[in-house]
Amino acid sequence: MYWLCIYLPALPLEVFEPSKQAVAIIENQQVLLCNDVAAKQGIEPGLTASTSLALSSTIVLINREPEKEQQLIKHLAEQIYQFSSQVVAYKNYNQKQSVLLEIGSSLRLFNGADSLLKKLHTMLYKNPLSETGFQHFFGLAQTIKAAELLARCSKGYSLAQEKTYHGAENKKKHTHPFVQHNHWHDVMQAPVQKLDCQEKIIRQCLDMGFNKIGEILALPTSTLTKRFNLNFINYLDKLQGKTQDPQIWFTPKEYFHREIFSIDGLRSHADLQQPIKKLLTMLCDYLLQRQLKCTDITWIFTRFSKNKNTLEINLSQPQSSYENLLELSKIHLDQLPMDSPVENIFLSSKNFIKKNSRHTDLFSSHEKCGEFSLLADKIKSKLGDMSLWQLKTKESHLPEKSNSMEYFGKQYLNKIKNNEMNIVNDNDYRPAWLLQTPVPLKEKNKCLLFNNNKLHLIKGPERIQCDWWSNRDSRDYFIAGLANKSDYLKKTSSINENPNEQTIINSYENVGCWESFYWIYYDRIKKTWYLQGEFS
Amino acid sequence: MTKNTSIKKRQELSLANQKQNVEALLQHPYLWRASQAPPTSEQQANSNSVIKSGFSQVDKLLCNNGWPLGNLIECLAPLSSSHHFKYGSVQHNSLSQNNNIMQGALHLFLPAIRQLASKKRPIILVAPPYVPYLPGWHINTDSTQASPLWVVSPDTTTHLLWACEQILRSNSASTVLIWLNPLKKQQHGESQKKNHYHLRSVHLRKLQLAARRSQSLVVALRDINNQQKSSPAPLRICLEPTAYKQKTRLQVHFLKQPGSWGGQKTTIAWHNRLQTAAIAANQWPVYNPTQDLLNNYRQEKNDNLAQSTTSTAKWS
Repeated sequence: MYWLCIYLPALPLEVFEPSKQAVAIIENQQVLLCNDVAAKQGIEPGLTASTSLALSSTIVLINREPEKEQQLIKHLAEQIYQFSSQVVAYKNYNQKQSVLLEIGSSLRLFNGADSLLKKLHTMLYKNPLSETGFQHFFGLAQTIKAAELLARCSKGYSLAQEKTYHGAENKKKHTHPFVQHNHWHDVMQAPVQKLDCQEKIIRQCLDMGFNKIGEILALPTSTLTKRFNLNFINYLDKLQGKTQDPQIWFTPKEYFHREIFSIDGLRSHADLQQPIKKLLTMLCDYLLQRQLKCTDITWIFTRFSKNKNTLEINLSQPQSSYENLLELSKIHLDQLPMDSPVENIFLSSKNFIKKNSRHTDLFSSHEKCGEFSLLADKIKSKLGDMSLWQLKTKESHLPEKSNSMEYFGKQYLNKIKNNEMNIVNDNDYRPAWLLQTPVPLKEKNKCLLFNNNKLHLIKGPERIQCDWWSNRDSRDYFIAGLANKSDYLKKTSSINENPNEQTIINSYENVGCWESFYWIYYDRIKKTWYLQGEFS
Repeated sequence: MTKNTSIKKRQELSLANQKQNVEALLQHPYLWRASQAPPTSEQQANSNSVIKSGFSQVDKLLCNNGWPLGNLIECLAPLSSSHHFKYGSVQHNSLSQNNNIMQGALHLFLPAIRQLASKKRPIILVAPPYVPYLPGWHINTDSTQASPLWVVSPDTTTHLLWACEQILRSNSASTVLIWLNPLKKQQHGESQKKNHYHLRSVHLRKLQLAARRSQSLVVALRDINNQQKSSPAPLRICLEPTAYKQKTRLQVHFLKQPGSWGGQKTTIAWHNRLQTAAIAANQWPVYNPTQDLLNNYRQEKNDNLAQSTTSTAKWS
C-alpha cells in the first residue's frame, strides 16, 4: 500500500470563480485565505475582518463555505477515481482538506509514479472545475497519516527528485523508484508543528524539547502513554502503520451534478455562455468516461435573491455530444429572463443509458443525413411543446377520431405502433386534409352553400355508422366539387336573370372547371350538412 | 506607324486577357448560358439528385427529368375559395390561420413524396393549412413504424423561417413542404409593424441556401399573386386548374428552370375519378320534413334489424 496525498491548501478560495476584486475568505472573523489582489493590498491570513476592511475598502469578505468545499472535493475525487480504485476524500483534525489515493496498485498501469504524478499534476492545473487550477502539494508514504503529513510539510514530492531516481532504476526489477526512497526518513525529519493534533499537545511536545517527529517516535510506548492522551497515541500508531486506519472509500455517484458560483454575478446571456460551456464539458467528460448517454439535463440558475429558474431539457434520443447539448441549451437559454444577475449555475443529469457501440464497415455508404430527434428537440424547445406533432391512426370509424394528433415527446423513443387494423380501404377516395371539427354547411333552395358558393355533389353516398352503444353516429359521406367562380358566373348569368325560374345547376356539363373538391357529409341524426375534408 | 502598331498589340493583349477571364467565368458550374443546349442524356444519368415526378409529361419538361433535390422549388397556386371562410374558434381546423393555398399543389408532388417516403426519412410539413388525413396521402408505411408525417406549426413568420432553416440544415427529412404565407397571429407586446411581417426575396434566398445543404425535396407553396415578383428559387412553377376537353386538369406552367429556359406548359390529370357526371338535383338527399318522418321510421326498423353488425355500410 502506497498512499499519495493531494493536499489542497487554497480550496476554500478555489470554491468560488476567480474574481478581479480583492477577495478574502474569513472564518471566525479571521482571514483564512486571500487572493493575489488582496495580498497586494496587504491582506494576509490571520488578520481580523475589521483590520482587513481597514486596509482595503474594496475587499470582498466571504464566509468560508465548508459544504461547497466538501462538494468540490467530491467532484475532484470523482476525477481522481480514474487513477486508483481506492480514493478517500480526507479531512484532518484541523479541518484541512485533501484527497488520498492508493497508487501502489496503479503504478504498472500508468507506467511508473513519475508519469502518474505528471498526469495528476496537469489534471489539477488544467481542471474544468476551476479556471486557475488547483494549488496542490503531493505527499507519498506507506500510511495515510504519513502521506497527509508529508503533503502538508509542503516539501512533499517533487518531480525533479523522482526523475533522478528513475534514471537509476533497474527496469527488470519490478520495484518502483519511490519505493526505494525512504519516505519514512522525511516523516522523522518533519517538524513537530506539522502533527495533526490539538495545539495543546504540540506545545507540550515543544516544551519537552522535541522539535522533530522522529524524536517523539523514538520514545518508548509506555512513556508516551503516560504523557499523552489516547487519541494522540492512536494517531502516532496510525502514522507508523502499527494499527489499522480504516477509511470510507469514495464511490462515484450514479448521477451528475455540478455547479459554478460567481462572486461578481452574471448579468447577461453573453456572460452565461462561458460557465455553461464549462459545465457541459464536464458533463460530456463524465459521460465519455462512463460510456453513457444522457436522456435529460436540468439547468438551475440561482439569483442573488435566491430566486431559482429551472430549465429542463428532455432529449428524445439519448445524447452525449457536446455540440448538440450546447445548441439545445442555448435555445432554452433564450427563454431565461435576465432581469437580475445570476449567482449560481447548476447542471444535473440523472438518467443515463449505456452507449451502444455501432459497427460500421468501410463499404457501407454513409448518408449525410442528420438525426431527426435532434431537430425535433430543437424545434420543440424553441417553438413550444405543441409545435411539432405527427398523426396517429386510431381504431375508429369516424375520420376525426381515427386521425389523432400525437405531440412529439418521449414516446418517440419507443416508437409508436400504428394500429394494424386498417379501417380505410385503399380503394376509398379520401381527402388529404381533414377538419378535426366538421364545419356545418348552409342549405338554401335545395342547394348546399359553402362560403356562398354552391357545392355540387359528385360522388356518394358512403355511409359510416358506428358507436350505437354510446354516441350513435350515422353519416352519409359525399364528395362535392366547387366550380370555378368566374367560369361558373359566365354560364349562370343567363339563368340568374330570371329569378322566378328555379333551375338549379348541378350537372357537370354546366360547371366547366372545378376549383376544388371537398368531403362533406350529411349527419342523419342532427339532420345537417357538414364539411370535413379537402382533397389535394 | 510604330506607335500605332504597339497600341494595337496592347489592345490585342488586353482583349486576350479579358477573353481568358470570361472563359474562366463560363466554366463555373452554376452558370448556364441561354445558347447552351439542354443537358444531354449522359449528363442526366450522372445526376442522382433528382426524383421522378410521377407525371411523364412533367418529367419530360423538367431539366434532368425530375424534381431537383436539395433545391428550393417554388410552387405558385391560386388561393382556394375557402380562404375567407372562417372556421370558427377551433384552433385545430385552420392550423396556421393563414390563407389556404389551393391544394392542387399537393397533388402534383404527392407521387414524388410517396417515393421518397420509403427511404425511412420523415416528411415534414411546415405550417400546413389543415390537419393532414393519412388515408388520403396513400403513403406506404410499415405497421411497425410510426407515421412518417410530421407537422411543424409555428406561430410567427420568424419562427416559421427559423424552423425551415433548422430542418434543412439538419438534412433529416426526405421532403419538406413549406406553406409560405405571412402568419398573422397577434403577439403581445409587439408593435403593429412587426405583425405585418412580409416575406421578401431575401428570405427565399436564405431558404434556397439552406436547401442546398440538404438532399431533400423542398417545396415552398405560395399564393399565385406572387407570380410577378422576383424570386431566387431556381425552379418556379405556377399551377392552375383549367378546363380541358370537358374535364378539369391542372395546368403546370414552368416560370423558371435551372439549366434551361422557362415558359413550358403542360397539363396533368386531377381527380379524374371524381370528374364523372354529378348527381342530379332531384336525387339530392337534402333534409325534407315530410320525407324525414318516413326516413326515421325506416331507420328505426333497420337499426333494430342490424344492430349487432353495425359498422361501415356502403352503397353507391
